[in-house]
Amino acid sequence: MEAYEIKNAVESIKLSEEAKKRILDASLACAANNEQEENPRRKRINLRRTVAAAIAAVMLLSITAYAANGEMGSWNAKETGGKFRELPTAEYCLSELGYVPLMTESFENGYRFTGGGIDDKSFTDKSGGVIEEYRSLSLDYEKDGDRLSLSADKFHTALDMSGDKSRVIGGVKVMYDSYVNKVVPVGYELTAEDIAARDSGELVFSYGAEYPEIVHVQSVFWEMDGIKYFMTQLDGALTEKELFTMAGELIGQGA
Amino acid sequence: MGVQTERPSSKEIEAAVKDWGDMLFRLSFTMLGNQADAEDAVSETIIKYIEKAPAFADKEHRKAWLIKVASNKCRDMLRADRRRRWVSLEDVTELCRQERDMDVMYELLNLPPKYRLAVYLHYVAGYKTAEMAGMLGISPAAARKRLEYGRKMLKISMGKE
Repeated sequence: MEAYEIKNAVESIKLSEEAKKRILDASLACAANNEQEENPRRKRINLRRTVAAAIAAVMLLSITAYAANGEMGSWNAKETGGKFRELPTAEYCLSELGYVPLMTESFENGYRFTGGGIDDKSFTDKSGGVIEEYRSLSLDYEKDGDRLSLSADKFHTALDMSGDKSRVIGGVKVMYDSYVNKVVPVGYELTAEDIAARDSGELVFSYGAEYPEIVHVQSVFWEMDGIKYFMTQLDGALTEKELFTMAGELIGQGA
Repeated sequence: MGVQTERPSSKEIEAAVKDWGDMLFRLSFTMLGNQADAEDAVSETIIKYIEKAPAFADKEHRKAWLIKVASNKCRDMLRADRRRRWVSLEDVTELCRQERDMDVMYELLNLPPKYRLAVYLHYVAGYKTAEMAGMLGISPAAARKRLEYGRKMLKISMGKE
């Protein structure tokens, strides 16, 4: 498609005279009566943490996952009440999670910690039976409006972690993956179009959002000292190289 | 720059609908995909213009303000009602005269709304990504990414921009 074709197509669209009159009448009536019932604006629900957690949680489902009793059905995530505006202490992490993950207040490229929380996660089999439940730490970072989510997970379920690309940083294998994710509410039924897109590999589905949303996901992930780390962006601005560098900064802390 | 102290006159309101109605409708139709919702969005944008417009520095400032209000309204409408996430092929056929225009609109309307908006702002309204970022309240890098994704999904040829 040529760029000029988009402009031509959109500019061929015009408001009909009847529609203009309807809009004008409504506007004049509003101005005359000074009455307007504004639709209450739906408060923008910041789903970024939940969405990021749900997306990161399903990332590795694109890789076959096996639990002790067979192939896994889904990896689920939801926020708990534990939220914080300052980086949690080691004592807090030990009491809430049972482990102390690597954390940082900021990265060298300027992404700074803005808040975080504890998420309840679980693996369920295809019948919905719970395989494992655990708690995970989720930290949000931001720079100039661009957001990054870091989660630290510790669980026993065996997963084969691999991504599109990998690098070894500080002796740790770090993977990179990117794909288009459709995040849908729990209980959402896939349409025929969804199924076709999923089966062709065009879309990956994950559950946990309030309404269906398509996002471009990129993530770096690694395992260190038994803890699995995921740094995830949704429609973010960081490059693959920058994500690997940021992973390296965290890994360097644990060295 | 504060809220205007006097409401626009009837003539000014009429002029606003005449001057900006088509532009706002194109944007709203691109975001919402059907005529009825797009007309609602235009109507509410004009009403907000009547109620809350600031003093504008120039015509471009006014245009950018109207685009921002309309795109926010469309975004809110999409979020408030899942049923709005549908595209009326009948409306596309009715509104586009040429077959090629219909084909292009179908493809554009298949994009997620936020990428459609980025494509609209750049290729139709002529905004650079830094300007888009300011209007959308996102970083310039995030605006570039949305445009990039939109381009890739539409397979827009870069050679003849």
